[in-house]
Amino acid sequence: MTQGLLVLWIVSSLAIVFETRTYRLIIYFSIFSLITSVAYFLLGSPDVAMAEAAIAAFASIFFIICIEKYYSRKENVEKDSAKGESLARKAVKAVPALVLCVGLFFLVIYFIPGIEPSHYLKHLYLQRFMTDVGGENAVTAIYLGYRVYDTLFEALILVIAVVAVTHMSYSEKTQVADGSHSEIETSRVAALSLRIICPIIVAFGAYLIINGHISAGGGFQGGLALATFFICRYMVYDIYDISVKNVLQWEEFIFAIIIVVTAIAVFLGAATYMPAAIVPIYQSVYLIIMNLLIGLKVACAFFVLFYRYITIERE
Amino acid sequence: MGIFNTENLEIFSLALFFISFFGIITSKNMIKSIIFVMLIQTAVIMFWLKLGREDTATPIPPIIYDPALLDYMERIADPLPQALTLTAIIIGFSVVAVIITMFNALYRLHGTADWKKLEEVEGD
Amino acid sequence: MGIENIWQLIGNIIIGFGVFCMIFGAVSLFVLKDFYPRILVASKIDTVGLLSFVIGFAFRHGLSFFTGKLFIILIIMLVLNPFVAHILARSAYRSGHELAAEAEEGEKS
Repeated sequence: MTQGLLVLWIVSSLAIVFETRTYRLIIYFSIFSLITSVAYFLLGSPDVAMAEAAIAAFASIFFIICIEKYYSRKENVEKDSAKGESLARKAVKAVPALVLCVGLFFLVIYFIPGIEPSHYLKHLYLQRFMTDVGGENAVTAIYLGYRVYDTLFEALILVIAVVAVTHMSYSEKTQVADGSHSEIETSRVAALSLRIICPIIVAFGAYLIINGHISAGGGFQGGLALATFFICRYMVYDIYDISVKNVLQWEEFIFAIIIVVTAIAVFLGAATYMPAAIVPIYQSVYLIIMNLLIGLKVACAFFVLFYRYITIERE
Repeated sequence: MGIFNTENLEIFSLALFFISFFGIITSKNMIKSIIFVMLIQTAVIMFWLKLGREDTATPIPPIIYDPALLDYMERIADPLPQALTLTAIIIGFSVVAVIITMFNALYRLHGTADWKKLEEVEGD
Repeated sequence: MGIENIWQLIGNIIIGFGVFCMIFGAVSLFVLKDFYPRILVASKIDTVGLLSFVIGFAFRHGLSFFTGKLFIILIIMLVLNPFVAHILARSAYRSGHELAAEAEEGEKS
């Protein structure tokens, strides 16, 4: 089964190389990401698999919005490329790049067997994380305990990216006013189905966040599930009534709280001032609070990204 | 079964890396290039996850609900690359979101999604 | 032949029915040329095929916590698959997609 997956993996990436129609590129990309997610799961990393699946869904949505709104539908790659060129000329043009890539590939393959990875840190973390950080999920223990700096800077980069997207795409002319509907009326069947599905999505996201320290899941994955809820809400009511600025401010506020909580719990070492009996309770409370904050922050960030792309009308 | 084995996942991820590299340097369309940026990130993550494996069998997820599991240390997947790739995936996606916005601004300015045509437009 | 084997047999029959539906749907996806019949077939693959798979697995496994999870998946799929087909057909209709036969008639008249 794994062999077939690997072959499909390479085939779908080659399909992206040779595809010339823009919409099909997105579909092949979705297939590729699905296979990647299954491969991550087979490698024993369910957290990464969930994050990859959710991110791939968001990426395809953003690409499709981008193509719909900006890049006109009839203008395909085929039209863009020079039509007079024959296939043979195109093939000849690609030869230097092909030689470069294949040569580098075999060069790297030749040197690969010399790498012997060290498993010292793995053994150290796995033996000590239950007393040092708490929880049962080693991945959560690492990104909220041992390597909390990484998570802080990741959150900072997400804030910067969202601010950059918001400001780079701003223009007075194309801005949609708050509270306005789009001209297409929503389908009643869609509204009804999404109303049934929405509570399940919110419950799933909350479960992933709150159970993140004892099972697979965590802040990022749960936050992505919660952001999906906002997309469903937009599809049901079809109204641009949430101000992007407010949500952005909320996100920055939550980021400040994350820094404060990390400073108190990790940098000052709050656990050293406590009696040993309540340390396990404190540890799980810390993990749940951090997961919750990260989840809310990721949900806010992806909601802002989605609304930013969807509210800009075509000129 | 020959080279189609999980043992050779490193070779597969390297192949994907260079396929995406080939796609980035030869593709004419900008959206295609953006998609290959995401693919190259996937290849690196897969290589990293594979490098942390001790045993050749299917690894156990690093969720230690029972301390007795620690006796099978060889079979548990390495949690460190997983925690780092979680952040790497989110960072990679936020970079791609910024790239999409830059593409939109570029398309609105010059009206083309072709690298070659963009050079002609800017040359004038 | 114990009572467990009968449940297993029922489950296998239902899964076989699902495989039958999926194979015929996949073949007819290539046989049919128009967009709307394809949507019909695709939604049939999704709904009937996947639902009979899930029900068959539930029969095979017996009543347990796992079956409860399967039924949650079943309910979600029961709501979502017709919804996806509906959205696809609706947006195709709204953006002016026509059947090939009707388009030919329109050109003649």
